Amino acid sequence: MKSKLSIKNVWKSYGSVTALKETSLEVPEGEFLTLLGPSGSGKTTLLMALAGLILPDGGEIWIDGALATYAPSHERDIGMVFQNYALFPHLTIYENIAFPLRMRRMREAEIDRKVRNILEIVRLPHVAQRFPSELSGGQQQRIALARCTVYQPSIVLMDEPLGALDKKLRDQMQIEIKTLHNELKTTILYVTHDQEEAMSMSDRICLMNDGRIQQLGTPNDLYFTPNSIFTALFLGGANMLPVARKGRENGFDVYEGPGGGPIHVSPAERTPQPAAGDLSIMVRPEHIRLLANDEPAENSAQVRIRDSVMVGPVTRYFAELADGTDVTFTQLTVSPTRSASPGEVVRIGWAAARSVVLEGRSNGHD
Amino acid sequence: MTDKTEISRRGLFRGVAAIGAAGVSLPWFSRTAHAAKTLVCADPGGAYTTAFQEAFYGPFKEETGIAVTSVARRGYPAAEFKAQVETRSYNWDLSGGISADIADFLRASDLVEEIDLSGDDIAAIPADMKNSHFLGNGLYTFILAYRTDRMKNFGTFADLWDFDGKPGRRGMRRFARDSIEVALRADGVAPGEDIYKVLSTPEGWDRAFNKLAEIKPHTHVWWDSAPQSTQLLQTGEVDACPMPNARAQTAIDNGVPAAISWEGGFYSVEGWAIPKGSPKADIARQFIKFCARPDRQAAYTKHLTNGPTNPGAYAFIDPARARTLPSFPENLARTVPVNDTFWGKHKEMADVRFNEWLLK
Amino acid sequence: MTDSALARPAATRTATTGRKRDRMRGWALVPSVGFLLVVFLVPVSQLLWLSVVNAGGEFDFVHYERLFSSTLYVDVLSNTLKIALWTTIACLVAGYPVAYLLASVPPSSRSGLLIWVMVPFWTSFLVRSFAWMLLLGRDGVINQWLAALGVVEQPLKLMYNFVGVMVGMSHAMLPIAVLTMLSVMQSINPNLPKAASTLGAGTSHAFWRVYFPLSLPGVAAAGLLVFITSVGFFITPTLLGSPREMMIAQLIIIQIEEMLNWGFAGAISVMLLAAAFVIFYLFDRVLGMSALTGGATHGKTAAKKGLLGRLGAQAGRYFIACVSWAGWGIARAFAMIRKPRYDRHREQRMTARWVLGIAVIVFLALPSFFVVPLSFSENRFFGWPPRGFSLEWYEAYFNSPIWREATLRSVLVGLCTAALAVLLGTPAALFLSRQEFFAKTALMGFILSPIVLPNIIVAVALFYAYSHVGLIGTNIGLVLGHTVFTLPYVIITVMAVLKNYDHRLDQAAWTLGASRAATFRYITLPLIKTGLITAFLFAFVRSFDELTIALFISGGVATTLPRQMWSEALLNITPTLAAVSTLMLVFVAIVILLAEFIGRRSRRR
Repeated sequence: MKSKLSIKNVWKSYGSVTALKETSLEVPEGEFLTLLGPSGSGKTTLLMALAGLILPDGGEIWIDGALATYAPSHERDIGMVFQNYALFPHLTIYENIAFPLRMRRMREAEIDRKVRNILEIVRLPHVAQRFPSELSGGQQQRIALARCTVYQPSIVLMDEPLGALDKKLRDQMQIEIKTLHNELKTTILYVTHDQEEAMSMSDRICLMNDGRIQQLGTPNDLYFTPNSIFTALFLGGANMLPVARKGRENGFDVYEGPGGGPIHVSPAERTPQPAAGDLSIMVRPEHIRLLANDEPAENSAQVRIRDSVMVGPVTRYFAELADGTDVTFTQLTVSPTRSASPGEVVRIGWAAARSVVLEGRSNGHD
Repeated sequence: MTDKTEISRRGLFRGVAAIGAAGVSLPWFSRTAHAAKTLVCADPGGAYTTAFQEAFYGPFKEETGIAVTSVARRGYPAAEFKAQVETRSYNWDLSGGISADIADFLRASDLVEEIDLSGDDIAAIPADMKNSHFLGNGLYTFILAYRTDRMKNFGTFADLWDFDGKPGRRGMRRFARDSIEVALRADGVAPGEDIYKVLSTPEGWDRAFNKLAEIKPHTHVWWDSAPQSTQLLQTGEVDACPMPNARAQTAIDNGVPAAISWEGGFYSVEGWAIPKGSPKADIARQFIKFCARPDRQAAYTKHLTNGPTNPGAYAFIDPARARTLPSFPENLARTVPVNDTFWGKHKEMADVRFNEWLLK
Repeated sequence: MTDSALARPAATRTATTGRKRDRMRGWALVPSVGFLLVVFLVPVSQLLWLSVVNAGGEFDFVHYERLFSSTLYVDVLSNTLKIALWTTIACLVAGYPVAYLLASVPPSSRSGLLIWVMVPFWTSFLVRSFAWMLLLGRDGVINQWLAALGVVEQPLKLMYNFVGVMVGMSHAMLPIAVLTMLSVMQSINPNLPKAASTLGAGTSHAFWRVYFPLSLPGVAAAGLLVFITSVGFFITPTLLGSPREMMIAQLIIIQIEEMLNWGFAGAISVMLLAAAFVIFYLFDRVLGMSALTGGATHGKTAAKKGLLGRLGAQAGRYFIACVSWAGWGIARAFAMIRKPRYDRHREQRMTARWVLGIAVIVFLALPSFFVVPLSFSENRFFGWPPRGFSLEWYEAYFNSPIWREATLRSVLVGLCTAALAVLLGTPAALFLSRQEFFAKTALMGFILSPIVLPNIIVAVALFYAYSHVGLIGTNIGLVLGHTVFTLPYVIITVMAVLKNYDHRLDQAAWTLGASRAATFRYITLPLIKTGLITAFLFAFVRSFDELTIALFISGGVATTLPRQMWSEALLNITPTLAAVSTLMLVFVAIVILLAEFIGRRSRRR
C-alpha cells in the first residue's frame, strides 16, 4: 500500500531535554494509527511536528509524497482535533465548521451543503446556530470532529480527543470515530495514553516511551508478543517471573523459574530469544488456568491463594509461589462452587506458547 | 453577515477623512511656506491674544496689509528660542509678552535679533524699558493682593508677617526671587537698591531665609502656576497673597471683593524680541515699532491690566482703567523696578537654595 | 534507532531552514522597536549626550558632579519615587475592589461600569485639577458639606499637602490600574475559589489563598504601569500639593526652559532613568517579568528564582497567611456576634463589593460631572457655586473657529496616533507575550522608558530631529511624537489581554487551512478585539490630553485642544473650559451609545 505519511529521523529537543529522539515511521493510506504512551513519551511532540505546530530540529516529514517538514500548517492538508477541541468561541457552530471550507474559498452553496451534511453525520443538525459554549462536552467533541473532517483532509490528527469525557460518552465516541473512519476512509493518527482505547480502535499501535518508539504493530502483536517489559506492562496485566536459561528439551526452551522448577517456552513464538543477562517470562493472567490434581500441562506450578475478587464474568486470583513470587490469574466465573478460596494451595498451568521471554527484571506486576 | 458592517465602517472612515481634509488646515507632510507678507507672532495666549489682536495685529494689517497670525508658546520661551535658532526652523517670527529678565538671558545667549530703536514713539519709552534687542511694551507689578471681606487694615508686606495681629490664610509664590524680595521688605529693608545691598553678603541671604522661615508654617499655599493665583483669590482659598497685579485685577474685575496694595511692589517689563536669524526680522522690526505707538499701547490695556511703557498712552486710556495700571504715575511712584541684572546673576543659586529650603 | 544527540549531520540542512523561520517571527518586533529607535532613542540620546560633554565637545562629568553637590536633586528624586510609590499603593488598594467587582458581574453590567471607570479619561487634566481645587479647598464643596452636616468645625486641610496630591494622582491613575487588573481577573477560572471552599477554606481563605494569588500578575502589571507613569508626573502635584511634593520632572523642565542648561537637564534625566531601571530590574527579580509579559508565574521552582525572588516569595507567603487568618478571625468574630445566614451569604458579599466599587467609581466620575453645572454658570470664573443660567460659554466655544479647529485637530491627531500605536504595538505584543528570549527584560525596559521621561525631553529632542527632515509644524510630526509615549501603553495593554488568549485556537485555525494572516484576521483579531479597543482608547486619550509636544512640534499656526485650553486658562480659568469638558462628555456618551446600538443591531441579525 502507498505510504500516506512518512517520517524519517525526526527529532526535537527543548534545551537540554530531548523530547523526541530520532524517529521514523510509515503510515499507509487509510490506516488508523495510534500513538500510545505515558505522558512525556514524545507522542504529542511527534503529532505537533506532523501538524506543523512545532518545527523539528531535524529529519523529514513527507505527506502524500511531498516533503512537508517545514511547510506551514495550513498548507499540509491535515485536520486536527485538539484535546480541548479548540472551537472558536466567537463563531457559531455553523461558522466553525464552515471555517476550513471558507479558507479553501469554496462557493457558498457548496459550503452550506457540506456543513449540513457533516452535521447530519455527527447527528447534530439542530445546533448549527448555537455557540460552542452552549454545547455539552460530547457535542463539542463531535463538532470538533465534524470541523476537521468536513474538508476531507488527507490525514486527521487527534490529540487525546476523548480525554475530557466521561467513560460512557467516551465509549460511545470511540465507536463514532471508528465509524467515521470507516465511512470516510481517512488516514487517522490518534494520540492517547489509554491502552484500552488504543487497542479497541487502532489498526496499528505505535507505543512510545522516553522519546522514541518502543514497539510498532497491531494490537495483537503488542498484546501477545511484547518486545519489552515496558510494552508488556503498559498493555495490560502481566505476571513477570524472574528466570534463568537452562537449555532445550523436547522442542521447548527451558528456563529455571522462581521456585527452581522448569518453565517451557515455544521457541517459534519469538526470535531471536534473548540469550544472556537478567531474563523474565511474561504470562498474561488470563492465560493461566486452574488445573485439576493430575491434569497435564506444558507449564505448571503450586500456588497458595491469598485473595480472590469476583468481577462479574471473571474471577481474579491473587496468589504466591512457594518462594513468595506473586502470581495473578483470572478464571471465567463459571459457577459459584468451582473456585479456590484464600489459604488453599492449588495447581496452575499455562501453555508454553503463552510464555514470553523478555530481557530485564521487573519488580512485581501490574 | 459581516459585509454590511464592513461597508458602514469604511464609510465612517471616509467621512472622518473628509472632515479632516475640509476642516484642518495644518499640513500633514510638510508645512506650507508662509506667504511673503505675513508675520507669525508668539504670545502667551488667552487674554494676551485677545488684547494683542485688537491693539496690534488687526490695526497693523489695516495699515500695512501684512497679516499677523498669533500662536501660543510656552510660558518660558527660552527653550523655544534656542531650538528654533539652532535648527534655523522658525515656527514664529517674533514673540511678545517676554519678560525683560528672559530677554536679557536670550541676549546673553545670542539668541535674539537687534531691533530698530529709531523714531519718536520709541524715544518716549524710558531707557530702562528697552535695549538693543528688546522693546518693553508693558509693565507688570508684583503686588500684595488681599480679600477686603476678610482682611481689615491690611496693605503692607509687613502685615503679611503679622500672623497674630492680622489673622487670615496666607499664600506665597513658589519662586525664589519674588519670595526673597517680599521677605526682605517685610523685614524692614527699603525697596530698591537696599535689597541688593543686603543680598550682597551671605548674611543678607540668611536674613532673607530666616524671615521666610517665619512665614513658612503660616503659608497655606505656595502657588506655582499663574492661573492658580487668580483662582486662589477668587475662591477665597487664601485671604492675602503676593501676586502679579493683572492676576489680582482679573479677580477684582470678576466681582471678587479684593484689593491691590501697590506699596512696596516691584515691577518688571515685558515686551518684544525676535529670534536670531528670523527670515522676517525686518517685518518684525517694523511691527515692533508700530506697537510702540501710544494709541496702540493704550488699546492693549483694555483686556490686560499691564501698564503701557509709553507714557503718552495715558492720554487715550479711560481714567478708571488707568488707575489700575502699574505705570499709572501714582502707582509707579509707590513701586520700584526689579533688578534683572542682579537676579540673572544669582538666579541659579537662589533657586537651588530656595527649593532645598522648601523641601526641608 | 541511534541516539540523536551526536549523530545528526543529515538533519542539519533542514534544521537551518526551520530555525530561520523561527527567527523570522522576530520581525514582529521590528516596527515598534525600529520606530522607538528612530523617533525616540536617537533624538533623545543626542539630547542626553549633552550631559557628558562640555561646550568644547570633550567628556566632562561636571553636570553629574553638580547633581550631588546639592542635596536637592537626590531629595527630589526620592520624593518623586515616594509619591509614585504611594500613588501606586493607593491605586492598587482602591482599584482592586473595583476590578474584582467588574470581574464578578455579568458582562452586560460590566461594560456599563467600565464606561464609568473611564470617565476621568475624557476630562482634560487641567480641568480635572481645577475641579479638585474647588472640591477640596478650604471653602470647597466637601468642606462646606462636612460643616453643614456638623462633622467638622474647622475646615479640613484636604489640599496643598500630601492628601491633595494623592487624590489628584490616584484619580488620574486609577482607570489604568483597574483596567489592567481586570484583564487578568477575567482569566481566573471561577471554579477555583469554589474548589477551595469545598476543600474546607472559608470565604477569607478561599479569597486570599486562591483568588488573590491568581490575580497577582494583574496587580503587579498595574502597579508597574502606575508607578512609571507617576514618576514622570508633575502638574497634579504642583497644583494640588505643597512644595514638599516637588517632582523631579519639574526640575528638569526648569533646567530646560529657564536655565537653558540642557546638559544638566540631561544629567537629571539620566538619574531619573537609572532609578526607573533599577526599580524595573528589582520588579523583574522579585515578581518576575512574566507578571507583565504573560508567561506562567506559577510553579516556578524556588531554586530558579534567585535570592531576591525567594525572599519576595517568602514574604508573600507570610503576608497571605497573615491576612487570610486575620480575615478568618474577623469572620469568626462576626459569626459569634450574629449567626451567619448561609442562604444570604453570597448576596452579602456581592453587596460589599458593590458598595466599595461604587464608592471608587463615584470618586472617579465626581470631578468630571462636577464641572457640568459650572459650564452653565453666569460666573465669570471657574467657581462654586454656579450662579444663574447662561449659555455664553458654549457660545464662546461654538463661535470660535480656533476652538472648533483645535478640537478637530486633536481628535484627528488622537485617532491617527492611536491607530499608528496599535498597528505598531500589536505585533510586538503578540511576539513578546509568546516568545521567551535573551534580554527580554531589557527590551521591555526600553519600551517603557518613553513613559518615564518628562515629555519636554522628547519634545525638545524631536524638534531638533524634525528640523532636519522638515516635520516641524506638521500633523505627521505631532502624530509621530505622540506615538512615542502611547506605544508603551498599547504594548502593555495588548500583552495583558493576550495573557488570557488560548494559543491553541490559532493552531486549530492553521491546521484547518488558514494562513497566518487569515488566522489573525478571523480568529485572533475578533477574540482580542476588546483589548485592542482598550489599547486604542488609552493611546487616544493620552494623545488627546498632551500639551508639551504639541506646543513644541505643532509650534506653528495650528493649535490642539489641550493647547487651546492651556492658553485659555493662562490668565483666568473661565467656565469655557467647563463647557468644553461637558461637550467632551456628551460626545463620548453619544459615541458609546451609538456603538452599543450598532452592536445590538448586528447581534440581532
